[in-house]
Amino acid sequence: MQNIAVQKIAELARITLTENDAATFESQVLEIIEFNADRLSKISDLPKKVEAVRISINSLSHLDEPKPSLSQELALANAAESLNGFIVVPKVLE
Amino acid sequence: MNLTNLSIIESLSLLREKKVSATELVSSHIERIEKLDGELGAFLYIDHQGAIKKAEELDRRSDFSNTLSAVPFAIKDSILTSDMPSTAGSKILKGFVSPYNATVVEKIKNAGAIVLGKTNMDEFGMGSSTENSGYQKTLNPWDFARVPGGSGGGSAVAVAADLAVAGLGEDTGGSIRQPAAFTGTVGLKPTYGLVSRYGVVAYASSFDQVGPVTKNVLDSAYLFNIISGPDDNDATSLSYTQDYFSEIDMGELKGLKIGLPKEYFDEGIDRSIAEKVRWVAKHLESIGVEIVEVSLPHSGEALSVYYIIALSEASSNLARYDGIRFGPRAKSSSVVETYLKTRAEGFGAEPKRRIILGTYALSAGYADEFYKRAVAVRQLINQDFLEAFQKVDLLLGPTTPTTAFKFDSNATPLEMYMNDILTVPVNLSGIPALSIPIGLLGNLPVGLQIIGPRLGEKKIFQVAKKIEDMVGFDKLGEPYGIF
Repeated sequence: MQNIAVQKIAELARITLTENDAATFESQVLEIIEFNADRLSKISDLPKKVEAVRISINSLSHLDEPKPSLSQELALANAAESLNGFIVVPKVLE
Repeated sequence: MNLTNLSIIESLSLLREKKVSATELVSSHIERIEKLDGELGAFLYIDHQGAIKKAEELDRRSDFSNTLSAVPFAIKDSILTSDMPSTAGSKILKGFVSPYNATVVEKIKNAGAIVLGKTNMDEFGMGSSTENSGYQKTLNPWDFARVPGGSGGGSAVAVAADLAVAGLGEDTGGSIRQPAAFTGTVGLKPTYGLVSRYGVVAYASSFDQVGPVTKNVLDSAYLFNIISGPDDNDATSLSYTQDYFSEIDMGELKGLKIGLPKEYFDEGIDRSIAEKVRWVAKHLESIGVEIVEVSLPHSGEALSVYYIIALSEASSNLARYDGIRFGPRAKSSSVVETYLKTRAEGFGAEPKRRIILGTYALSAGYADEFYKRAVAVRQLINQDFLEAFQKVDLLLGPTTPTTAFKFDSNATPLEMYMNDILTVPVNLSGIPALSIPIGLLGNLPVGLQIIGPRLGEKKIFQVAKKIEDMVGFDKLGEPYGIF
């Protein structure tokens, strides 16, 4: 593995990185990826059929009935900006 | 009488016998927090007045029949509370007050518990030392130069230093058990699905589990009775209940078969810790338990599998922090710029690193090599445990490869990740494990981990209680640092 386009990945993850951060992360991330790739590449007995991870059996289910939900006031209480019952956001379309 | 070193059971007994009032019990803990927590840094938020007020109300009613009447609690900051802030240790949630309580909080409050405050943690549970908190350091009460473990260092320290009678933690890759081992407390990572995740800030959803952090095994089983059980609000919760407490001393250990996984005692593990665990195994042997060596052949890959799958899940879960619906918002003229800036300013280095790693593992061209391969190996790890539990009832091993390490002693993130090598396999497999203290090395606690098959908590508690009775950790003394 040569290098990782950390800035590009950060952009996809919607995080701005400073150049310094990007440089530090690049070596750290590369070290971790190489470590993981090395460990997993050594496995020779991979299952032929991978089952979906069984999170739980005896899982609960309940009737799909409407129940009281959060009030508009509570739902907006933590928003950085709200107006007339709506969340205010910066321009989405230029 | 010292009221701050009481267990849950002892507190309830004194309250019910009218030997102590709720106000006395809660005030003594608040006073201790005021005296010590400025230095220890276990709490991110303390509700002094609210706690005293609730205690006074209970005294007025003079009814302590409820299962956790007036018991002072510390709650990890990633578990939502509607009357206190919940930041999950991150600045991106600074000031966030949840509109609802997590199910576990609702359960302990309905049982009469008094929540003293919210405890420090590595941001979103991402760390093994609580050094990655966006707010403050938490010191290990046994040695202030050392970390308390993580991510749930705050709850563990609150309990270890007698700032609270009990705590709630959340374990994704060892975040309850590793701090328990480092601070001499008892921490349970339950079977996945036994405790509701409703209202718990998600890090890696197929791993996260809430569990008790307590001073002894009896309290752990008692509290687990209260917080476990099905919840309509969590589709992954199990329709299963059990009494873990009443028969804790009644289990027949003679004839029980316990396995020591050879991979948990290899050269990467501190020799003295491994010896202490073997010494406990010998004790168990002397009372009729059969001890055998077993193998979990894919243990060496568990760390990599964890750090691929958990981080992939984290990169998706943490996408919700965009400054729109909650948390601080960076000023910007466009919505995309707002996301970029808010997340850059709000997340610390470790969440950023983990989001980048998770995004990479899921990206086109790499998902097959990383994510899908890791999911396949997770299945092998699960298979290892299933095969081991066909031969033995439980597994026993160290909780951590070392005792508590010094601050800033891990040179790289990868070195820090290595601390989780003995705790992550259990999370990958969704099975339960309990860490209990078994003695000191120098002045630092050593944790032993009892691992059980799925829904095997009852037997784990029975064996843990027996070990606790034999080892008598509570007689070894108090943490040195705070005296």
